[in-house]
Amino acid sequence: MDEVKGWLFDVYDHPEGGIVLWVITDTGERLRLRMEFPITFYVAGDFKMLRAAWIFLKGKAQLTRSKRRDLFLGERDVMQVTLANDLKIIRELQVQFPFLDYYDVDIPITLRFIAHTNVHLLGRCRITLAQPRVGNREWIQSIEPLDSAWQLSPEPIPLHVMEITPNVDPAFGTPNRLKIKVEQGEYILNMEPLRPFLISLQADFRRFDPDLILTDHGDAWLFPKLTEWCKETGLHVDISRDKEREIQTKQAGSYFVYGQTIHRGAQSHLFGRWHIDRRNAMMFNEYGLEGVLEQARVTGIGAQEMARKSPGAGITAMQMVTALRTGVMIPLHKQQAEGRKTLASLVRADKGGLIYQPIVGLHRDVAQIDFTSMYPSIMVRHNISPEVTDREQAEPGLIPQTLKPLLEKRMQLKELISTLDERDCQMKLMKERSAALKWLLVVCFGYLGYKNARFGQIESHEMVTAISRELMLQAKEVAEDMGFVVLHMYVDSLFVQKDGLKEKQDFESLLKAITEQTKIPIMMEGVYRWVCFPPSRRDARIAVPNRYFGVLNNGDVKYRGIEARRRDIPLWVKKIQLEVLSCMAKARSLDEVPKYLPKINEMLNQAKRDLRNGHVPLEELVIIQSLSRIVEGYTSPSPAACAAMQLQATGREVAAGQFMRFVFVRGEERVRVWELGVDSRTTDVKRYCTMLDRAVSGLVSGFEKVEVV
Amino acid sequence: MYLIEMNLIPRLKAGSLIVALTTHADHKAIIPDLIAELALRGPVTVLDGGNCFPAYRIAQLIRRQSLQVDAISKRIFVRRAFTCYQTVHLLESTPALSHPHVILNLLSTFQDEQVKHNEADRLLTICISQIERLRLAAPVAITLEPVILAEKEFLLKRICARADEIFTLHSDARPREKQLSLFQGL
Repeated sequence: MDEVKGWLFDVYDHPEGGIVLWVITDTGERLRLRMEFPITFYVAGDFKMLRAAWIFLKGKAQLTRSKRRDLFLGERDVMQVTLANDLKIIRELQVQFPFLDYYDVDIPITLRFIAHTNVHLLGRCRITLAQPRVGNREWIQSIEPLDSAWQLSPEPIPLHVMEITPNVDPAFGTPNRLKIKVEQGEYILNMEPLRPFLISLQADFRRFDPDLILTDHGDAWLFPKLTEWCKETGLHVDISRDKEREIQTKQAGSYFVYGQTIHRGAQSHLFGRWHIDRRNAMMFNEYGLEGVLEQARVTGIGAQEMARKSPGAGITAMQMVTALRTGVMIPLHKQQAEGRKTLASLVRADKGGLIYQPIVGLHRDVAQIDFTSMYPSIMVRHNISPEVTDREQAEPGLIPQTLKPLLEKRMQLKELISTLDERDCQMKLMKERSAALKWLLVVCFGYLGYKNARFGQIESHEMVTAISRELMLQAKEVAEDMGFVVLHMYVDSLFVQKDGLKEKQDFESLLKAITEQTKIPIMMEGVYRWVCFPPSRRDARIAVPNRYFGVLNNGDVKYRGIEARRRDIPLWVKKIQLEVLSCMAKARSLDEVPKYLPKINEMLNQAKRDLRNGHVPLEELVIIQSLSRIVEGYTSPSPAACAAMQLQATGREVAAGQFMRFVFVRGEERVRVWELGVDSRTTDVKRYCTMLDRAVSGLVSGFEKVEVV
Repeated sequence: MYLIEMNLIPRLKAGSLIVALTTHADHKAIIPDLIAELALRGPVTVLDGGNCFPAYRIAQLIRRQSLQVDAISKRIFVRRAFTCYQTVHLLESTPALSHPHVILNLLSTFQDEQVKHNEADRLLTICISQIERLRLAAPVAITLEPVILAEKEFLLKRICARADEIFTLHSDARPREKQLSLFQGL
């Protein structure tokens, strides 16, 4: 009996039943293996209807009567249906019997596989192959894990990566060259004439046999075009490694969530090989490839899918795996609505995190301290999960069970990062992995109240924020008892100050006291030489929560809520604002800052002169805004809607949620969509200067009143 | 101030099903008045299908008319649904009591593009049968905002076909006087 060891690379279902597994072996082979994998789901509801469904399924599936647990309803009598293949029956059953409750019917196959075998994606495993072997089409007899997804430093999967970048953004012109980068080096591939190009590309795919194709514009342009060209020329390019499967394309679409319209571009997925389009990968800029791989490892969603999905989808997947492992059925549609509340109790319960308005103005020697992963910590420590919210001393619920290992891994990674030298080659990778885990933890609280979350419950969601408000108040009281002044509190962070305390270690006793009191770890974010809480533009007496900028003791600047953080502000304004802030950071103390004001004034004037003289690259003036609805839905069009209309006029399709790139121009047109080309002479200089003035005055206005000692 | 007071509340009698058609903006302006007015008269159950229950506004309106804010706010019972499946469950699990029921934005969750027409139609059938059950014991008022997806317009027609009376609610069209700013330059 043959045995192989290696990394699990990809899992997907086979049209004839069972699953296909791709494994990268220790010897470097890429093996395509098959495995029998029956699918089990459950049906509950009215007994007569269940009986009819039983008769409908008889002979087509293996049927058993059993009892299973619904997280909200408890034990239910269910019909257990097991299918070897032909999953179409599930759909037929649902159409025939819509009034029955269905469980475990839409679980991705990778999650079922992970729950069943404990082998995780990208993880090490040992596989026993069944006899006889037929070429590369081998069947698996058994598979077992050799590591855990929660291991801090897993042995990295050895990937062959190929990067493909067109010479021109397809939105602006027609690319005619591809830059291809592999481990061995990089080269240019001419795309004209078409036949030699396709033949060369096929040869390169065979030669380098990439596991991961990392592209720019691969989803909406390169792969759809390649498919089209192959049809035109009759040539074949092995884009997917699995020769039995074509590229899987997913159409573009818009959806409405959390008050925002989101546009998701078309997608091209491969089999036996991954494709990630950096331009269409949701959080790629945030945590890079290493972060995507880390999320795939812990969530069980394939890397090419995870790259395009929100972290919320990752949390849902993790909850599904926990449910499958613990015998909790996963409803197709969550039905439980909110319990009955009076107006008075709703007003009391339905609140968010605690905000303690900042004290407007400039403050010196301020420490910012943050609770570490506050909401997930509360969910784990206080056992917040829909099935146990009303029970004391209950066993850990499904949500805390899911989050605990994730939270622990993130804490351990954070600790490891704090021990590494900034120049350590592991630093970047560790930070990316930590950021990926952080994002999963960030969204896990929101998903507790999200309408489509299978195991969400609004009462649990409210309970988390109620506990967080209580803990923040406790932290404030501890700080004030120790003689600190609390300047601002925002959900999970506090800004505190005490005469004579300037260094991080001066605040350690406070951190210890708060952690002891709240039982949730609180960490030092940094000590500011000075920090400014600017006033509201509408009323100078009122501060704006979570809007601040300041300079930390090590000279780094930190800012929130100002123009430099906003997506709809042009890069030019952001750059100048940050240059001004960096200039202010040169002051060794708050009192020295006003000395730099003349220099800042000169910087501002020089920037405006550069703009007027056309020395600012047009790219830096581009504004990015999303369309909140379809163009026809605007009664008075926003600048983004005007840009969308210009694009539509050229025959291009525009969807709600799509980002529009445009430049403000003079004249009736007001804006000019970036993709159609902008004449630099038409730029609305006055408007950009106003934006810059506003951004810079927000920084310096507080200092103009400071007297220099 | 609004047409609602003179038109809608007197018509809320046991066995009656009133449908109020309104725009999103007018819904925000009018519905708090309706719920506050009903609460001043006795208990009221609000079933919120559009995540639009204006809790703070209602509390303010009650406070303007009574010193017993706490007691009156305990007479308003609220439940919210965020998907059409939850809306069905919400209606199924609501007991038929003798005080008025206000169902806010009943069709909002049915507009989800993931929910196909047949499924939406099937779920609405259940909702209608539950509304019929509730109206036997107490008046039921349903508010509906315009359907965004034209292909789901039939849902609105189905509800309206069951109604005893249909109102198109709009807030007072008189332009409000602009209040002068207390602060110079604003």
